[in-house]
Amino acid sequence: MDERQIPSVGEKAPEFEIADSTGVVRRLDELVAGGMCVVVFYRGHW
Amino acid sequence: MADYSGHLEDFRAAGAGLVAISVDDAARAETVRQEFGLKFPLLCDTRREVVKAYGLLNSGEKGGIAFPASFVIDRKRVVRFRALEAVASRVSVEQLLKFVRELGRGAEPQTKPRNSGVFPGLMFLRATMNALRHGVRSPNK
Repeated sequence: MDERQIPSVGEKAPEFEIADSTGVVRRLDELVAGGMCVVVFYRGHW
Repeated sequence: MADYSGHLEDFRAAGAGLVAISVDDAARAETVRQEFGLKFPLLCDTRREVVKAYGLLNSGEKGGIAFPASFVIDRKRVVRFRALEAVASRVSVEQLLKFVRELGRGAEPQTKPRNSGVFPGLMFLRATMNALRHGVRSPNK
């Protein structure tokens, strides 16, 4: 983990555009358009 | 999990969406989503692009996985709050919800979700992560 690269409070979050598990492509810009979005990174299977 | 479903609606009512991201492929993520009846999208960063862009790639784990972390991102895509599990930042779901509600009203939050030693919480986020973990590790399949 490179903590310097992790966006801090007040910084711009990197845009992303990836598919969800149902194949729907999600863009961060669209996710926050309604006001804000909670984005959780989880480990998943390992 | 029933508890956090309720909170999901609270976040929505406060104007916040919710998504979760891992490097799991669609099939695995969809299994988890259905198994837990999750009502928010599970994004599949199989190419690790997003995880890398956010500086959260844990390359020590097979193939590289995400370090657990949570962000509140506003409509200008500015990070308003972040919690990194690696440094044990914790906040209760109630605090997070209050923060989101104040932001939603356009006010500068008075109650910043400061790290509390015992994070009963980001409880619902925590519960999600734990559930996802335990789910994928569940031996009863």
